[in-house]
Amino acid sequence: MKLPITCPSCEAELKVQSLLCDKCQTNINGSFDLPVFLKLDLKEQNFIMDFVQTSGSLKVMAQQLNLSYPTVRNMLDDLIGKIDTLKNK
Amino acid sequence: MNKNIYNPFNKIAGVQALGIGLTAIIIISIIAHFSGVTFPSIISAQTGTNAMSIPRLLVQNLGHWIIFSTIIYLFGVFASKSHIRAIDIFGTIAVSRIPFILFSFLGFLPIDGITQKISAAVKTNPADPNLLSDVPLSEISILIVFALLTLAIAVWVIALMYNAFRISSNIKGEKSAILFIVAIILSSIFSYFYEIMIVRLIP
Repeated sequence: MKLPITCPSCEAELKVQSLLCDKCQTNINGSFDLPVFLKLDLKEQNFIMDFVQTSGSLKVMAQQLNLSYPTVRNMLDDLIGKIDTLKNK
Repeated sequence: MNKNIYNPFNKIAGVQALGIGLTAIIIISIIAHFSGVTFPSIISAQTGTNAMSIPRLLVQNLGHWIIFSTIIYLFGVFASKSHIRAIDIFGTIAVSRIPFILFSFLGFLPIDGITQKISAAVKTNPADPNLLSDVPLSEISILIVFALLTLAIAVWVIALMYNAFRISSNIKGEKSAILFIVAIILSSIFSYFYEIMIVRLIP
């Protein structure tokens, strides 16, 4: 199931209010920020996973995604820009 | 329309693009030699000229490609936040010459004879309402087809060149459009001097 990261009503960023231990049913309530990784959309998260799994090789990623090297590099640079923006919020 | 026709650079770049592009430039130079087409700058082509030798056409085509690619590479180095590669710029710009293969074939159409006939009629009696009555409909049709194809090829070349620049340098929006136009203007100026100082010296 896809984790919602923005409010469906006003599109504001969501926070984590409750965490549950599945083993002992302990419930922790609070107001926690989502980690930056989870604030990215699924496609971007998958891109980061692929990047790590190919040991950071854009050439290998380009081959796997059937895209050109500069296209993959541009995707990575756009992602870096987005992460910088999210971190500075 | 298939997006790859005007933007294949999401799939092709680097050495592969350079190989395809250089092959295209060689093919263009060979066809243009036989059809009497020349390429005075990066975005212009002329028919009805005296046929150039294949080595001269190669020097002409390669020179304009190198001039434009060098300019946009320098723009990319200074204006892009990405670490750009020269091989991507030179490769993708070489690929964007491909539509000139079609234009080289247009040189086989008897455009020069038709335009000479029309301009002679205009000079003789410009006020004559039946000015073009002596020009056969088939020849006017050829002229119209030539004009439409030339326009389509020009749009295609510019779209390919712009996308090559945009993707290889990762410069977006208004900035990319402005830098692209400046690059075209600068390369046209440099190409003019290149034509005079280098191309005309080749037999």
